[in-house]
Amino acid sequence: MKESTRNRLFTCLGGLSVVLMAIYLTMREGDVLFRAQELSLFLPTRQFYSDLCIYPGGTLSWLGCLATQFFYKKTWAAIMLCLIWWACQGITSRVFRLGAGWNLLALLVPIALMACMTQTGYWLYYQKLSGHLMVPGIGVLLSLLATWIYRTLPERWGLCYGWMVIWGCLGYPLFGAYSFLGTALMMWPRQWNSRVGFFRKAFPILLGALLIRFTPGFSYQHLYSQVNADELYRAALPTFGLADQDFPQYRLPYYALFASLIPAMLTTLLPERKRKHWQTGLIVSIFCLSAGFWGLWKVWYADVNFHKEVRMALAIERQDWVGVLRIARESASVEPTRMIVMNKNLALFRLGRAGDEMCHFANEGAMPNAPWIARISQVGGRQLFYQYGRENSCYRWCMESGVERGWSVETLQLMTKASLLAGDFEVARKYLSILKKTWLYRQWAERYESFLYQPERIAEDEEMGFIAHLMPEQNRLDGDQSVVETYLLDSFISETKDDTLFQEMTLLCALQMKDIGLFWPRFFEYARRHPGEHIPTHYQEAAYLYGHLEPTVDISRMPFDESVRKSYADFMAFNERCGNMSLEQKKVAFRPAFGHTFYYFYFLVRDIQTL
Amino acid sequence: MKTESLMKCKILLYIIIYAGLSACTKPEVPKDFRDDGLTADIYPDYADVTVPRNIAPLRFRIEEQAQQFVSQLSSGNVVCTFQGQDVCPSQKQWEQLRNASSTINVEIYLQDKEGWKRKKPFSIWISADEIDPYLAYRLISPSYVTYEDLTICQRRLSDYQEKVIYGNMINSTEKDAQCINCHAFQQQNPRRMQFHVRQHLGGTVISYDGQTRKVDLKTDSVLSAGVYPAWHPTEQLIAYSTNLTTQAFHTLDLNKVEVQDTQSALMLYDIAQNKVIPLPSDSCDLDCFPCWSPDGQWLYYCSAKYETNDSLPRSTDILLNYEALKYNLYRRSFDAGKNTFGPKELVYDAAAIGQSATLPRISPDGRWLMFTQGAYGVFHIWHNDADLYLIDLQNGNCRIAEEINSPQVESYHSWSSNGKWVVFSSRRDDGNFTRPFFAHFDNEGSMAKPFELPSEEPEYHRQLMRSYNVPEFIVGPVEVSPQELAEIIKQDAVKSQ
Repeated sequence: MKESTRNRLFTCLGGLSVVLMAIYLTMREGDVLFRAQELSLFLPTRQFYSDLCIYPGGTLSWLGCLATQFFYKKTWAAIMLCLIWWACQGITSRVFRLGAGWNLLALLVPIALMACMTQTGYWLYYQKLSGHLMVPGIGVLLSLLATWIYRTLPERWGLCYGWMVIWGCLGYPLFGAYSFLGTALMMWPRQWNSRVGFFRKAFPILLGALLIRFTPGFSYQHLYSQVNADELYRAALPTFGLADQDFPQYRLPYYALFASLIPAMLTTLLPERKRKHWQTGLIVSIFCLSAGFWGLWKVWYADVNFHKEVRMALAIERQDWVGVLRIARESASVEPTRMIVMNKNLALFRLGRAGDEMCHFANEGAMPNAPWIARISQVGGRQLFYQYGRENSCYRWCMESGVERGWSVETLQLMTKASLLAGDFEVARKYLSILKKTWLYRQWAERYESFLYQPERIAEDEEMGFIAHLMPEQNRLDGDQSVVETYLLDSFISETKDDTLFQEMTLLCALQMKDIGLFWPRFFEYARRHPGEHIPTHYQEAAYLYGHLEPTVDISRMPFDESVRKSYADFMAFNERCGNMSLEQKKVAFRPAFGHTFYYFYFLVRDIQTL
Repeated sequence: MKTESLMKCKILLYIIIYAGLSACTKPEVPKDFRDDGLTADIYPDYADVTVPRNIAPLRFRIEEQAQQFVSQLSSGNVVCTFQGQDVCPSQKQWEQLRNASSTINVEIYLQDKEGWKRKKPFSIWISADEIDPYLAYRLISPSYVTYEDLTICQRRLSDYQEKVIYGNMINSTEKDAQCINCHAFQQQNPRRMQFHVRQHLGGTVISYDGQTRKVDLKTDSVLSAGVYPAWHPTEQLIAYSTNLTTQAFHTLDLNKVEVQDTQSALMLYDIAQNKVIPLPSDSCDLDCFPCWSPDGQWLYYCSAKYETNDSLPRSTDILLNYEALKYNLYRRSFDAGKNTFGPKELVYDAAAIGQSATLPRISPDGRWLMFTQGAYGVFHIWHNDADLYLIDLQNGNCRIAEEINSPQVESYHSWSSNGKWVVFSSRRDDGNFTRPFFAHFDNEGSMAKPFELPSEEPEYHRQLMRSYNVPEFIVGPVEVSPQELAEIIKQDAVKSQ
């Protein structure tokens, strides 16, 4: 095989690998990418750019936000990732003049970039760096591009060194720490064993070292006023710390990203003869890529509950309540998080099936799979507050999130809707004017803008009209202490409103709180408001159970379904047979026959941890 | 092939020249138009406002639906015409306009399906009274518990230049966050400044004639470190309130949050002696927002009396009865030689009319006292009903400052050094984000229609997700750099006595 054909073959192989990786990522994590796009914001305005540029690396962050928008569609995401990764791979090959076989080493860069994205998990909700998913890819690409330009410029008149200085000085304010990568690559000699003099080898190293040492300090003194001197060398890199907790394990893919160029760099140490030996290159590449893919597989965050939460959030936005329940039923063997349980309860209520089916699903709550406490208030609390008519709380948590982690499409949308429902139209107009500046949410903003001119239509809107029923009637002062579920239960229980949906919600809250005293008045109110209608099963089960537990209410003349009486009798009989079992043993024993009853929920679902 | 390429180049050149010429074409006011008779909706609302000579160009957006927009600003012989929805006079054009006469006339023409129409013209009045050249403020998102990026900034009012005096992120990390607040100056002097740093590296930074230090104002004799400051006009003294606060959230009310003092009092800090002197007060009294008279002989402040129900913790009790807290305005005489205060005197009894008065600020000539009044409480920035009021201290007459109030919050206010301008914070734009507004003040105590702080881009404040907090005039820029302040803040605070 001719050398040129072989080169082409390996180049195509590298390109094909990148395409497959991008397609696989977008197919598997498309919903997470879409969610990332919602939790980001890009405005094509000077002000938006200026706001990001108060920190070094602001331009890179801006590019990251720009690119993140393209996660809106899987096809766009795949094409964009293909282009960026392919460019990274191609330029790496050129910069280090990787021949056939060896050029597959350049695939390590896309693999590391993919790892930076796929490890994210709950950081999606906590990361403070704007455009964080796309910043590494663009940052590395620009650094490689700068190095390639450096390599193509002649040494004559110091042109390449001039470029190095330009990059070193401008790169830091524009691209933050990624500029150091570019400078470091330029410092690396083109060919170690070439016969150039010591000074010519040493000069770029010295120049680069000076640039890396002094540019951040100079920028700190003269360009920036809000940068901590201790964090100058981490500009445009994500932070993986929360309050006093630090999670260094999340930095590993970033170390791997910077290290992914080392094998390619080391090839320049080899004599030209060996660099042309494609078989050796292929073996080395296969070894390195195997290690890379193993690392990628190890850091890929494949948590079932996290993905269910993400998909549920999207289904709720689409008002696809059946979809929410379908997702809730998936992977039944994995205990769901409280977020999933709450989303499920919301969907059942919206479909009018909560009274019959609330206990048909798992109702406990696993802790989210994160090394810190991923609170509901941070993950999906604002959406829940909005859906449950707590519009001031929704607004508040959107504001807190926006302040702490930057503004996003989601927070602006929720703040708009919460403000419309609360009657705060002028501030809704402000958020709509911002959303109208985006490329992808302008239509959404125009739709909601129409409510400003016809506020009476809010009550007719399918989504907001329903939520209006759940809004409190009387104002009061309180606080949620950052515990969403408890706050929602307490606030519904402590409020009253002459509204059938609101009343049923308070009954459901009483059921979830397992409080007999709170249950009866709400049960009677439900019965009064639904004369002649069949009382949902769980309400009957609760009444039948409470009537037996505390006979303060005479249930003898209540028309319970025969199935309710029978399941209660069966439950109690079975309970007598399982008298000596532990709670965990009982759960297993009771679940098949009684897992769908309120009795099971009342007696065996205990110590729910809601955070 | 060569001819074809040449042809393409020529076409491209023509396009570039045409585009260039089109861009340079001076827009013209239509000759045929009909008068609409209605005032154009513009943002910010600069129609018929009075502005100082040394203010930055007022740029605005025409908030009307039209196919084309042409606007004309004229003053004397100077005429500037603009095309498009954004009317953005340059610095040079603005200087020409304001130098030509004391009135800038604004005409707006819109083209719709029926042709051109002219909106009702309006004017911008140029006052000969200059405004102080800088405005200092804190930029903060109107959040409730969290905070991230806080900056105390200074804005040059003759153009759009904004610089950070100090930003908290320079000394913050994820683990050790820092809050900053309550900047204040002695008589608008940028060399005599103070602000507080809370939490990480906390203390009060006091800069006095080139000497800057961080002090710890908390002593055993006071409730807290200093909070709301007031520099004595001439002495090296700062009066502070000391406060213990609590907050809770409204479930439905658009005021959203309620912040209350559970305890508060006043103290005096002697900069030269580094000494804290608490002011005597009743334990039921909630004293706050001190302010000196311009001669330095009186300390004004607001105070509410609240007797606690013993069955509840005071903070719970106050939160449950938050609407019962009514603040009045008081004053105490001050002997600068002995650093002693006289008994308190009632200045304005807001409680008697079921209201709560806060934030007294006295004009430089000592005649006018401006304050904020709402139905209850002390934290009026979150009270939609809060409005500005004015007391003539010569005769005690009080009136609502109707000409500058809006249906939304008006709260913090400050006088310019010549007493001709008032800056105040208002949420009239959207009800949630505070913006500084300026109003001209004449000798008789009446004010002109206020105007919003001009921005380089008309929609800047719509996109800005932060509030302007505590706008204060300064007569020049603060020279000490954020980096220098950061180094001082890193040092241990000097403990006050």
